[in-house]
Amino acid sequence: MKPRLGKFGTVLLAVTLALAVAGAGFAKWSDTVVINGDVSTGTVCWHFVSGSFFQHDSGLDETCEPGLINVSTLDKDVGNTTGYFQDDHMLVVTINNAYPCYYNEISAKEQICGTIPVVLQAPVLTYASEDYTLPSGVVVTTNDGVLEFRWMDNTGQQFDPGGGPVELSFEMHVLQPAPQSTAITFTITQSAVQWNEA
Amino acid sequence: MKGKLGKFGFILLALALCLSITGAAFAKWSDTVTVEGTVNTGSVCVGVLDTGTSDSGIDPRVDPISLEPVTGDKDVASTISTNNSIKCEDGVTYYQSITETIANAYPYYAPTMNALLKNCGSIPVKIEDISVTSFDDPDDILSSITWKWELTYNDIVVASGEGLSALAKIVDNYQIEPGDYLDAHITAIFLESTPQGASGSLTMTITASQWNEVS
Repeated sequence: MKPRLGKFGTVLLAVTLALAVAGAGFAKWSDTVVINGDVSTGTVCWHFVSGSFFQHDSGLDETCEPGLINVSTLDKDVGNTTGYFQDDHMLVVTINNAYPCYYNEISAKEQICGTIPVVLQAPVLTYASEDYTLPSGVVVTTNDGVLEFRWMDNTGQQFDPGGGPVELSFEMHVLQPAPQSTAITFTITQSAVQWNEA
Repeated sequence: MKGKLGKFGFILLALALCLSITGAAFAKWSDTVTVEGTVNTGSVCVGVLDTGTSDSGIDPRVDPISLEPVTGDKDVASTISTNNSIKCEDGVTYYQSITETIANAYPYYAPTMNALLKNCGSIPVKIEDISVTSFDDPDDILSSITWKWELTYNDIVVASGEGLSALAKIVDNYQIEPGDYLDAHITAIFLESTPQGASGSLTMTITASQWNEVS
């Protein structure tokens, strides 16, 4: 006996062929959801404020005793101090016509320009190709005995984005071993790190 | 003996002839009943819901060395989640998509994001495919992130680990019964190599299919 499709089978076959011709396929039931992710990172940024360099010697020279104590004003204007910013983080200072006992106080301002809070690190003094870290409030004398320094403020302080400029200042004193006829130049490099890694 | 119709037989014969002339037919006794059938098919439907992040103010952070959580003190970065396009509701609204937006991130910022996948249909489903359908990370932020995760099913922890590929491996083929939900709690830990001032994005599409056709 021959198998027969019958009317129903014929209809199904016709539909299947029609779908196949039309390119349609049979698919399981499924559904989808979508997860989007966007991420942006912040910035750590600070820089010296242009024009903020300031030094205290605007006339009569000042002096002090070793250890940066007993600061007093002399009766002559002999030495002088100049400075400029080498880049965003480095200050270059030159003392002209200096002599033993010459004292000065120098300051500059820094501005936070990033989006992440920062903590200022102890600055690094570079003099005669040697580096010295200047902890706040501690007198540091160079290895050749020519200069002594005391960093005065804001080391270890935390600064948030959006705040105003921050003042940094230090004292310096020329000691007895200073060479004659030599301009004394040194640099101060200020660093900072994001507050949660300080 | 010759048969005779008689009067009664004659009348019956005449009636039969009349009926045949008028087209009427003889039929056996019959009756009909009707059986009505209603077929309701089920539905495959999944929705997603963001259930919040760990950054609602003070930043969640980790220790730079141990990568263990530490108490935060500042609100610097943010992680915000949004739900988009309502998909289904059963007292809770579920959505077609969610968006997690992390902004102003920095090394050792560690927000946790929560994405809940709900079977809001009537057919069990299995997660068949997780595809990254869009990716834009020119500064390679993603390579500077360590991922930690915990996976719960109806609020019961079923797995935990590190790395998104490990999470994808666990989730692949995971079956979710109707009304049940799978919840991924994912923590992104930004490492020291995180680039500054960078941005990136990605889009993942999760496909769930009827359980009996996913091998």
